[in-house]
Amino acid sequence: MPTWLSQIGRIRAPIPAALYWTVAAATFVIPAAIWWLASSSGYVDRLFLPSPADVAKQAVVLAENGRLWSDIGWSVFRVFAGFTLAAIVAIPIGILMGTYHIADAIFEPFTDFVRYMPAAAFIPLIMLYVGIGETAKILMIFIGTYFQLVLLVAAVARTVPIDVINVAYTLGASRRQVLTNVVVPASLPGLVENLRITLGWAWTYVIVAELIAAQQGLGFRIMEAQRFLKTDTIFLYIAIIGLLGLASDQIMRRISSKTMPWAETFDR
Amino acid sequence: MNLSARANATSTESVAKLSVRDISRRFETRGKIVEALKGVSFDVPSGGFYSIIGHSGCGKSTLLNIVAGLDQATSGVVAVDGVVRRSPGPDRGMVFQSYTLFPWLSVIENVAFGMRMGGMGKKERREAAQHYVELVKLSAFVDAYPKELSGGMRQRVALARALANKPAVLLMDEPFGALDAETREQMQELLLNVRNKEFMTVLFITHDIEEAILLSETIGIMAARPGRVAHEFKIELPYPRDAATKVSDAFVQNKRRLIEVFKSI
Repeated sequence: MPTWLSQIGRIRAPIPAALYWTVAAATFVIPAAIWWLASSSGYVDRLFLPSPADVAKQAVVLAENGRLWSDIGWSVFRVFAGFTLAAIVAIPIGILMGTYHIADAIFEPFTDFVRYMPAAAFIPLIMLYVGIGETAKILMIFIGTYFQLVLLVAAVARTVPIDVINVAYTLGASRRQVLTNVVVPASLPGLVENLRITLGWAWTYVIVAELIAAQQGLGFRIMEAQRFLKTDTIFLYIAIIGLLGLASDQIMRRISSKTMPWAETFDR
Repeated sequence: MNLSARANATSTESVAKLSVRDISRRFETRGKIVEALKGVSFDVPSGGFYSIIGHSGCGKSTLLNIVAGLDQATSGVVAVDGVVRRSPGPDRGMVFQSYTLFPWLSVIENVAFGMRMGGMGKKERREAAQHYVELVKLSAFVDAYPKELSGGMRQRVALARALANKPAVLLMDEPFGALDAETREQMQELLLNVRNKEFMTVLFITHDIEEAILLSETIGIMAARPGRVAHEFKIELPYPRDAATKVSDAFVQNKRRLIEVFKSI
């Protein structure tokens, strides 16, 4: 038995990189192959299941007339704006929550309460208050991600070992210095990791917001395609949302390993 | 008392770098009052090496945390150079048992951390830190991050970081407790070596009798429930000491005497 085979079932044991990426690629190729076989078999109505070729054709059409790029641009802009706003507010508040019990008392119970309200249920109110412009979509993403993110940041700040904080005091650091020079940098890797995960939710909420009230963007185009029974466009846009998510995830990973070479990482 | 005797008395008093006076610490857990420490008193002279030994749970670490200012005594005082200390400060540097290096800082930046907090300029503190990195024999790792270092190396950096801040008293809380036996011996020799080169006053916590004898001038033996210093024990071994000291007759005699006292409490 080759050694890599015996490694597979071993808890947390690394496997060869080639094996890892072959398996990962297969998880994309196999569903695509099944899709292609099902659509070309003739058993399934093309209206319900367009072929990969139909979707590719539609991609070319929409790319050429520029609509694809403008839709991507709008959605990326909304995700970026809403998510950045959520992060800017959630990071300092979360760090304070994880550091001072009084901040925890102020924010945690209330956040837990709001967190369980479905963000999409706020849409009617958002439309009533700020209309259906860009603010509405950004607000939607903010509500959908802020309340989750702030709790995750607080949990990260709480994991900074007390001895690491104490040693800074014995080295002459003031409370303020301990907060800015110890708690904040010690929280960074966990913080970036959680930003990466919540970014996925921002993508969910931008589509929800666009499905309901928008004139452009990926979510809007999916809704419009449904009206005209353009299943190929729906397929294309759903795949693109996945690809954009995957790309932003990889970018975040890259930034994180480049800017924090000191962080302990999970070995593949 | 004649004049010279009085002068002598004052000078003995003034050399008490660290004074621990009548420290008591009570905790309240689930309505029950636990007396962790009761009436702990001892002095560490300037340049002295004082170890506290005792069984686990006797309150050694609580005592050290109080000396560091990280915990508050219910009664009693801690004084450094005759000045009462209640909160943590750079005059009492500390090396912990757990690894406490800042992972985002390189070795030299870790060592320079205290100086940075004190507002020293970058170039100046880097030069000063360099000396301490060399002292713990890590010159080849100045720019390495903690994750690239072994456990023993991390504790050497922690020692250099504490020393670089020039504390009046160095507090060490079982600093080699998490290391394997071989590394621990190397660390003990390194500490003896460092103490030959640098003037330092040390308060050291351990549960390892041999380690306490090898390193210390005086050992305070703690009894538990309530935690108190039951005996003070002078180690009569000449300096410089090294690993070979451990197999000398004098060492074995000291150990025998100490174990007898240790058993009796």
